[in-house]
Amino acid sequence: MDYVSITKTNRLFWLGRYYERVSLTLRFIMERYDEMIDTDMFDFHQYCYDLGIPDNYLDSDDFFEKYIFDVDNDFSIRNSAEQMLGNGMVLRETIGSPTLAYLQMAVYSLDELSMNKYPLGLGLQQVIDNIMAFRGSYDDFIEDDSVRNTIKCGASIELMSFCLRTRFLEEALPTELHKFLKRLQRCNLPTDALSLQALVRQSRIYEGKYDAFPLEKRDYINAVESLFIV
Amino acid sequence: MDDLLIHKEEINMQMARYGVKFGIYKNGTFKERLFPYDPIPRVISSSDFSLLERGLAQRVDALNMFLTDIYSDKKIIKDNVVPAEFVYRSPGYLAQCEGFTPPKSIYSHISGIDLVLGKDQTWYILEDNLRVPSGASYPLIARSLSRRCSPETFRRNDVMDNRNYGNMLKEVMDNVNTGGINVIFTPGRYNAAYFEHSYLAEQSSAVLAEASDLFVENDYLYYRGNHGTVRVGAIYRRISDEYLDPLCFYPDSLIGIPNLMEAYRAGNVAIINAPGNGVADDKGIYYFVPKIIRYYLDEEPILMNAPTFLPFYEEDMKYTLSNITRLVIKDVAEAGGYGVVFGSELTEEQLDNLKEKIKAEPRRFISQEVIDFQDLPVIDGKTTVMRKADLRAFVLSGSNTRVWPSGLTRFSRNPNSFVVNSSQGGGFKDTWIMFQ
Repeated sequence: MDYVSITKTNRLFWLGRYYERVSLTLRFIMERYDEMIDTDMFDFHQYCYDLGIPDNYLDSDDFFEKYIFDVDNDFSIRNSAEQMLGNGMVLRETIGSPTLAYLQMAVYSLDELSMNKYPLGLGLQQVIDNIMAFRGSYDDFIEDDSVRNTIKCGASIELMSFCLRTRFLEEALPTELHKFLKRLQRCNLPTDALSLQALVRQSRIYEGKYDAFPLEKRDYINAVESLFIV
Repeated sequence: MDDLLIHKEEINMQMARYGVKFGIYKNGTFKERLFPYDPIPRVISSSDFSLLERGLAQRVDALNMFLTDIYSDKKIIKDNVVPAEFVYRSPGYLAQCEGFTPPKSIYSHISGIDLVLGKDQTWYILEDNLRVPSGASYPLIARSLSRRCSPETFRRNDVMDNRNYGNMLKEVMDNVNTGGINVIFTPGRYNAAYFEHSYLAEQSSAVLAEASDLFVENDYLYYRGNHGTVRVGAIYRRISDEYLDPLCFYPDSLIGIPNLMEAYRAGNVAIINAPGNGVADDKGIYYFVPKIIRYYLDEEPILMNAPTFLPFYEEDMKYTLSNITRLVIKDVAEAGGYGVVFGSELTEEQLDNLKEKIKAEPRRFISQEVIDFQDLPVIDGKTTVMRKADLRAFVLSGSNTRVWPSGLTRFSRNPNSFVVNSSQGGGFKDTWIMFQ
């Protein structure tokens, strides 16, 4: 049995959020980067607005460079990767060294890509591959159901928040919410009652079991972001 | 062996993959660095290790008896073997530890003893580290990764397995556990040895905890678990004495556990290593260790100290001042390679200043003959160069005293330097103990 303190629970949750943030934003960026081959359609100003992050990029090239790789930019993917690794490092004895190694490799892949001319899409795919390997590894390695599901709850919250803000993978929302509510029952995270009520209601609406207006986007985001008291 | 050397890059990549790092503060900023690893191991024969085993166990047993005595009857002072001044003026002596003996009378559960092999083939002990000696995790993980990269090397060489360190550590903790879980207490991610803390927790199945995870209630130490509180029976602290308990030592410590010393003194938790050990690994006390061995064990020391002089004694003061250009002078209050000065490297003015300091504060310094210790081969690019190297041996005191069949070999990356500490830019090697 793993002994998990409140501090550690907090880190498990944020580990889930950060690895999902890195993975999702990279997938999003790769799609936009691909679109930019044929068009000039990506509106990074809108993206920054949707996520509520500072929009201080000169043009789309500057955005792709700094938003992905700039370690000094608090809102960059590189910074999220650092937070992901930092939370993983303080959980070594819980998630195991072999599992943690995938996070370390994801960060190395990102750093290597920033220093060479390797095609961006291929390089970013390596980062995502390492994160996918991490997901499989922790799911397999961690025996304690509650620990595993705490990480997964963090990942679900991040995914729902990102989908709601950017409409990216919006079709995955009902399934994710359903999975999330099941995971929530298997961990020990303290929740805000009103937010939980709103999300359960939304889930029932998705399933067609409750005939009411769905949550407004802003209320939905608020319910997701303020659910946990961590 | 050649096969292992061919795979140097792969091994280093594996080290990077597993985040084998140490932290360093430079100009107030925390930076993590990969610990430079050299694949050529230090090889110690079975007969040499047998001598080291006996000598190190003897030394650590005697030092544990010294600590028990110092914090209780003080017979060794009364019998004029060790001057009282060297005990009570040592910064490592803690009056708060007086009148209490830890579980099973073990003070130093994990001792890191630094040795060098002289060119005369004699092992000399340079330093005892009885507080929070670090470094075991590096050869431990290096061995696992080297075996992965070059299995043939280990098929062909009859090397003792060193991967039992986690079990040995667990046995040491279990031996003194007063009832409850084993915890490794870390100051946190920004400590220089954080990798080691987390890796050893994983290897020994202990719970890694920070100050906010632990609290004392009614003289018992508890872990603040998500499913309720859990009693702690043994705490392997990786934090200095002065920060351990703000109600007993340094009051501004934010990384300590209030009232931990109360729980310890009530006999409800074992602290590994015990607080107050600094009095026994003080560079001033080092001089007396051979006498300490003779006093408590009635045996001749198996391993030798480096020839050492105490300016505290008039005769040694004269010797130090007149031979200062060929001696190494150490400030007893410093550690980690700091406060070590080679007389041969100083200008006339610097020598005069140092002499004045020694005369003003004789208790603060020791002087030692410079041991011309053996160089070891180190790979530098595509060539092999010779560099100074020491050995940190780990002695674990549980139900009996055992020497880990390995050790941290640190080498200087600087051709003319004797300083091997990682904080000074040194690298490390695995240490092979052979069956033959």
